[in-house]
Amino acid sequence: MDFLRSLEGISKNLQKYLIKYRLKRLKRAIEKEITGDVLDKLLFLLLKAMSLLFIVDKEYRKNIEDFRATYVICSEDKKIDVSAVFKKITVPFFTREDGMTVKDTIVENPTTTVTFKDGKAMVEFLLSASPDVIAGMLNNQLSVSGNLNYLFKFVYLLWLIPERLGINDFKEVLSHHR
Amino acid sequence: MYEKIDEVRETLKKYTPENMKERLPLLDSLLGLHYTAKAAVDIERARYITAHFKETEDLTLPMPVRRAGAVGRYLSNRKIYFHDDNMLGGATTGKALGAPLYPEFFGLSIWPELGTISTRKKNPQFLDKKDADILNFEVFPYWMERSISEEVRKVDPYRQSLLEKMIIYTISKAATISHTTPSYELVLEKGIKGILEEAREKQVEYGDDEEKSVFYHSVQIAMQGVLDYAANISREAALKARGETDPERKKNFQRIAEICKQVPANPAKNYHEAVNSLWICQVSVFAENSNMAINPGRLDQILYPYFIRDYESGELTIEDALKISGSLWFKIGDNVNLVPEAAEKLFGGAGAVPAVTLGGVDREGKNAVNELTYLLLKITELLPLRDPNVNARFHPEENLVEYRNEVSRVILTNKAIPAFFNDIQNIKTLVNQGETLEHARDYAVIGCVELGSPGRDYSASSSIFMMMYTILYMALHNGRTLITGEAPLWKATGNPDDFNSFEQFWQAYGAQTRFMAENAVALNNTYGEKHKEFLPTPLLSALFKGPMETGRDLICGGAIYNSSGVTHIGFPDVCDSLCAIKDICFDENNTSMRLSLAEFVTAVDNNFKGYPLLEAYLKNKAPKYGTDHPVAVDISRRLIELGYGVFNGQKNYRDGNYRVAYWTMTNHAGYGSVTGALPSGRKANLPFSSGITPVSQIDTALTTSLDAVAGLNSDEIPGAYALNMKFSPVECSPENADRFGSIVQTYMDNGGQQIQFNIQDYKTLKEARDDPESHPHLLVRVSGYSAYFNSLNRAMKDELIMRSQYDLSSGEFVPLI
Repeated sequence: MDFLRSLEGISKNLQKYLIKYRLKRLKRAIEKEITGDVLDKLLFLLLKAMSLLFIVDKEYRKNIEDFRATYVICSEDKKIDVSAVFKKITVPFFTREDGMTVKDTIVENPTTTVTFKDGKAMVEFLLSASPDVIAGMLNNQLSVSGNLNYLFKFVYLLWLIPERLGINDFKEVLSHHR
Repeated sequence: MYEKIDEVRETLKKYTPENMKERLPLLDSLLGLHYTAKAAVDIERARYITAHFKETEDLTLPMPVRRAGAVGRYLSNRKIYFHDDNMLGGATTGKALGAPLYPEFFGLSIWPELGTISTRKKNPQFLDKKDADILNFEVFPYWMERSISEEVRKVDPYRQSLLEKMIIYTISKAATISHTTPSYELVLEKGIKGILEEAREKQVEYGDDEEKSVFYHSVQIAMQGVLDYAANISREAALKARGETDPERKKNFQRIAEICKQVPANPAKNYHEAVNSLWICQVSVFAENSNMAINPGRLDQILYPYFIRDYESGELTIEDALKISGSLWFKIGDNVNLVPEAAEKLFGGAGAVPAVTLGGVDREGKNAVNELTYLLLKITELLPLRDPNVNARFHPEENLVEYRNEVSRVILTNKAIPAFFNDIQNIKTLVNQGETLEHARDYAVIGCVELGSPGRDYSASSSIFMMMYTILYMALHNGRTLITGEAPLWKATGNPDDFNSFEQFWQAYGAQTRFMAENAVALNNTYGEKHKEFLPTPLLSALFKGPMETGRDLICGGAIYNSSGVTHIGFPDVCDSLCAIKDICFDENNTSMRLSLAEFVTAVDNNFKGYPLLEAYLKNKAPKYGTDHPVAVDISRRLIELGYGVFNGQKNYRDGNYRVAYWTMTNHAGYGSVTGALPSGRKANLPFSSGITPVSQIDTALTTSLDAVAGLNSDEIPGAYALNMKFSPVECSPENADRFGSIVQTYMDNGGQQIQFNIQDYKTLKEARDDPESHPHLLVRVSGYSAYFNSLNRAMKDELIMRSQYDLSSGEFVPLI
């Protein structure tokens, strides 16, 4: 069952509590993921964290005020197929807010599509201390179709996640990984 | 004419780099500040421009008026800064070494790095957290759908996507309107008020012609911004003067206040006013257009009347002239380009490459080397700065040997600048491009090495970068590239097995060259059309001859000449590759190394792994450009002919010519580091050779190498080339300067167009690479411009070390051990 739907019928405070708890679990899962050997869930975890942060973190949500866009992230070997849709979302007891939903399928007519060479290329990109779109394109690790500016923004939003999750040494872990 | 030359030269001899601290303490202290300044991102322009565009979004204003309004608003309101004791008012940004941000171009590329750009390892550019938030929340969102690349994507998404792959071609228009030389003497003679008045009268005159009327109206708006900016500098300097207790500083502020009250509003009356007027105009151009290769031009000619009048009347001493001119040098170098991390890793270390041109002949073809030429050469000697990019024109028949040797002496002293340009060849080349003889004689260097008549030729000289190595790859792989899939990118031209002769393969290479050229030109022209629509340049247009007469913006073809530049990356490596293909695969007389083209391609695609004999043959026996091997001589000349042939006759969006060039900045090292092996024997990920320079470490004499380059038909290289040579350091004696100058002149007599030097040995450069602190301010010539060695990336440093070194006395090649 979708996590947000599971919050229906409970109080606002409890909703917040559960979302924050969920974020903590995601944080631990991300930490575990990046120090492990298999990193195939990393992108999905980060995007899930991003979508929840938009609900409970007002500062972070400010980044997507009136922002509408659809991203598709996939890989040439077809092992990665994720979409991130930025739109107004409804959370019970919260008013409709700018938010983002994650789908494990490819949506049609995205604003920007990022295609990684493979899972390894994606992980290296995500684990870089400063994910570099242009370097990734030059090194043939990723290609982009659609509006490049949207990707620049998205990468910045990704980069903010560790800080917003409140993990001080997260970037350090990322930058020293491997 | 120039009667004071001997007297001025004699006085200038008193000033040396060693005694600068004592004799010119101001310049010495400014040099110290320059070396310690840290680059910082400046967002003030981006904020004003964005705010203006947001506020005028729903108004039905013509774009030229909107854009002039934005530029004028920024100039009228920007804060005034005095970063140091410089004698000139005006600064590119609010930072001592500022990187202005142009969101309408490629500024959004730093979005992912807002949190890291200040601390990145290579050449960080400091960005305040508050400013980063402003960019993130206010500035960047507005431009997401409006940057020029997105406008182009809407009409040509396919070619735009190829551009973004960055190995097919690149188009600079995505990042800039630049690479041109305004006519600053227009301002010195008329003053901004004069130009503004002219625009006002013309607007009345052409009141019935909407397009012209809009143009003249927008010029007035932009010019008012320049006036306001200068007036604000004057006011702020006066305030500073009142509060200043140090008498020297107080005097300096007072002088700036007086000067900026007069200029650039009015015609300049003296040298100091002329220099400051020119500088304020240059800063104002940056308000409208990117700070990239906007060139001050022939300063020794533009400023000469003011200099000599003041000098002869006794109002200006040589010391004061040195201080004012040196102040201009520091001002010109007060900015860098905003560079995202990937670009910094691959291409970093460049300044903004504003070119200053000295010497040569005047419009009548007479010797133009004057007292100020020598004074500005002295400044170049005293201040070995990355910017300005100083270039010395030399006319072997008109200029004197004394001048040639003085330029040589300065190069031997500071070990890098200026570069030499051959007037005879370059004037001929420009005339061949349709410039009048008078205009061609007045050429100035643009950015790295390109040529154009200042204020007459809106040159856009770095419009297209052609990746020659990609074309070669496509010819070898039936039109495919590594990154665009299995199908040919444009057209199949045959698999390696299909070619029975070198001529057949040459046809395939030629065909791929043409496809690449057609697509690059088409995309560049689309960018040009979008520039017309969204990025008119009324301010820059008013500083050119043509737009004010015709009522047409530069971007719409208002200049007298309307060229675009096409430079090529990888010429020497591709030339050697074609030589190797001919020699190994198609020369029946070659009995020592024979492979089919298919086998050869396999070896190359495997980075020569398992092919040690082939590798050794390529290194030691295959014909190489830079030698007198007839195959290499023939193929190098045919390649030049081909490059010229595919672009000559193609028209740009302003109905001007495409001018072919061979200069590479640091691109040859950057792109080399992400490119596979080549048939030349160059292994994967190593730098390409720079500009038109023969590949490094070929065991050949200096004269043979120079003859190989001089033998290329310069008429077919109208955009110019960069030839990089490295000499072992020698004592800076008159004999050595003469020997050095003689080598340059012989090269020019043989047809050489341009040449630049590093006077360095392998050992010193290796030391600087391994221990940056040992040579903290080492200045080097890259490929058309200068850079501080420490700011370059590893690939570029290695390429500089690898460059062939020659002994000045013997002309012998000194191998790298």
